[in-house]
Amino acid sequence: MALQVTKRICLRCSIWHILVRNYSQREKAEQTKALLDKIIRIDHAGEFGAKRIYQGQLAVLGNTPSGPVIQQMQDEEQKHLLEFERLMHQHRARPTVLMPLWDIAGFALGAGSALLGKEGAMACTVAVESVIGEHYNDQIRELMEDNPEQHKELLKTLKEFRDDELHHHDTGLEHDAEKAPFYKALTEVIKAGCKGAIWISEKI
Amino acid sequence: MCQKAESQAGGSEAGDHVSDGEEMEYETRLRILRSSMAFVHQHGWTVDTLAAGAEVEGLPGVAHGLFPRGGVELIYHFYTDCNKQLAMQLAERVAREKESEQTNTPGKSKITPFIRDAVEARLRMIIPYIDRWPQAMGILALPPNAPQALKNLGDLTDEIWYYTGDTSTDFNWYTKRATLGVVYKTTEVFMMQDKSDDYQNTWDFLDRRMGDITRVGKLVRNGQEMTSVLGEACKGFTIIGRNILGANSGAK
Repeated sequence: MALQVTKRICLRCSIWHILVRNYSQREKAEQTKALLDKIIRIDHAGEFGAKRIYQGQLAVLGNTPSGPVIQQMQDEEQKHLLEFERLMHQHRARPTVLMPLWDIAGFALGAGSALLGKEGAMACTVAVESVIGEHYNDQIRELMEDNPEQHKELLKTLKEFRDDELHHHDTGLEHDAEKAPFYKALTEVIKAGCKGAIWISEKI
Repeated sequence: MCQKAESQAGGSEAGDHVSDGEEMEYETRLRILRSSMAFVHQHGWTVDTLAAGAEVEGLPGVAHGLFPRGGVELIYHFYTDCNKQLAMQLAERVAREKESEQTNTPGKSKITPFIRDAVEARLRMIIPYIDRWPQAMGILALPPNAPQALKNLGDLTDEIWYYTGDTSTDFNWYTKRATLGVVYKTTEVFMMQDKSDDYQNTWDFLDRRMGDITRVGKLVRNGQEMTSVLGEACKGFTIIGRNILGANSGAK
């Protein structure tokens, strides 16, 4: 009730023009395009980075009993990566400038964590997947805020991928991630690194 | 958040009211810009041109105040308008080639001629205003205008590469567009001082630049092959060395 009254009062005064963001069709379309560009860019970079991390882990742990588990997770990330490449072509989004950096850094993180043993690799997986899961949730919220109808397909894809990533997270926990040396410190550092990487790749 | 909810709830009233005003301003600006193009030869890319365009549209000359950055907005309008026209032409060409390809067998790579023709088509759009284009290029090079000018160039190269069917999703995306941007810019500068018939020297210059890119591309590929061969050779030498030192025999 109070909302209706306030709205009616504001309509009649020009302060409304300052308060309300401009929702002309053209500008809304530009905002949506920028949002999709950002989301596809960062998700593509994220899946590529995740694939490289698993490849790094496989380089060290490929011949051990945890090899097949990591291989399966890598295959799923590859599937995600192909889907985002398809979306990138469909929406004419641009990739992030830092692709070569994530190429090297991902592999280094994977190999480095695997050198701490299988538990280290699993701890790295847990940290990365938890950040990615949160990030997918944030993106789903952004898309729902923007236009749930228009983004139905993309929302379905993101929800499916988020569930896959959380499954990886749980797999990591099942395979003794918490027994890794300095588990708390390790996961916090990796999470901070991932969040920094997400922040910068969203920009450039 | 609540502001958005309000506007969405009152969408039909408030949204239209605001959007009508914004759309009217946008369309007025567009009309003035379009009419101003006819006066570019007289006054260049300045607020005088915008004022003259406004007067043709029946608005007072001071309507050039709709363009706070002045003449450079006319240049942006012309640039982006040409980009849009180029995109339409390229889309038509791609559609035509797709139809004809269903009858012919696909030949060797047609990317280089496609890009070359696209750059030529885009540069030809400047020809009607070429007497004033050096002034425009100078204005675009000024520090406040340079970022938007670079973005326009980036959009142009992206359009051309998109219609060649580019599917790169890594750093090549940037190198392709950057090299095309350099080719376009240098050819544009060359065209400004070209006095030949139908700018034939410019198109020859463009052909030579496209040839440069192809040569550099081959060089890079050869370089990559060379590094991998060298890598294999080093591994081979290491194995020979270890053999000589008896490190590989395993016998004590």
